[in-house]
Amino acid sequence: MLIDVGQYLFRVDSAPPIVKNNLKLMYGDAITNSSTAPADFTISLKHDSLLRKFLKPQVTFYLGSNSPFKPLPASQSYPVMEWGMNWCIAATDFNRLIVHAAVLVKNNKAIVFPATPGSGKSTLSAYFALSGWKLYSDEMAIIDLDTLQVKPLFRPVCLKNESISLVKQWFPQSIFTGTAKDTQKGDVAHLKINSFAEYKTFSPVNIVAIVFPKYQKDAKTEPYKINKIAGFQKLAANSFNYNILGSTAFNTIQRLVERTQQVEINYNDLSDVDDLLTSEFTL
Amino acid sequence: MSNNKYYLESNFTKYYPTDGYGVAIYNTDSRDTTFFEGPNDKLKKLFELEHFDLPTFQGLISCDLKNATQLINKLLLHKIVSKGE
Repeated sequence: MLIDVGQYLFRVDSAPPIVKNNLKLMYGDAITNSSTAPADFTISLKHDSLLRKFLKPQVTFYLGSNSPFKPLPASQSYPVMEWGMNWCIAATDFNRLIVHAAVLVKNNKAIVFPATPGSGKSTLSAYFALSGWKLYSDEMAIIDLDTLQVKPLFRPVCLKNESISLVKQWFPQSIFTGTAKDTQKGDVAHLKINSFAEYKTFSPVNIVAIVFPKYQKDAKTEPYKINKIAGFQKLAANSFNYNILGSTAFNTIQRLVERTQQVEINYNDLSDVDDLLTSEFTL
Repeated sequence: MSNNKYYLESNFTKYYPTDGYGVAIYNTDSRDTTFFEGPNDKLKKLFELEHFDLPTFQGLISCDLKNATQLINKLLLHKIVSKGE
């Protein structure tokens, strides 16, 4: 099974049937069964022993013959596969700046939402993507080192805990995997946003703003412009490959913060954030 | 008080944001990035000095002695050009 996630091609060598079924549900037409195309990553999810297939079953994620993570309960198989795919990209792509962030696009302008604690990044991604924005990524911003444009990824949104029922309530028609209980991130389910055909119409776009949202129960939705050095610091801290890229990353982030606005938003209502960003950045 | 003098060598890349606040300094040898807060015209003046001592550094970046010493150590290790008591 070969999965085209846009910028990368994954070959899935082997995986339990439940994982394959969820991959088909999430990636649909992005999956082919070609056996000859060269893949960027050859991955698999396996039971390490016959014993662990039946007694307290566990699975291990492999990139080639290396396993970067400890085995985890088989009930978490699908999230483990998705996290493993994230790891492959974050740990090996040194040709682009990769920032732990969601990227949403409206009117051909991208807004990057770095994954700061309490940001509600994935809930925001799901809400925006199902309300007319284009989801370029829920997990990582892939930024071209020369053009500074952000490239789209074809991946589902990973929702956690209360966000799962919230999004199901807001968008009852949405397509979810089953919920994996008690993972290291709590309860986890993945949400399909676009068809592969829709995704194929997405192209690299310019970033207009770096937005740091913060969910606060009683907050009035308000933006606060932050200084560029604070924006730089937060972007560097959220970049997976800042240390590897070294001076290239330093120069890239410098150009990026000069070219964009950096804003903090306290919010308790995502539709207000949508309205605010749309008017602030004329989206 | 020590009258050590310090200077920034050329293996540092500096970024002074155009909004006038702060500086980011990248050490191309250690690959560390250090951030300073404060009006960046002052910081620019500081790092353009041929040499500076601790009180000058402390005054221009508006921080206490302990923080100033830590920053000096992080940024300017082995960059002492003269020593005295």
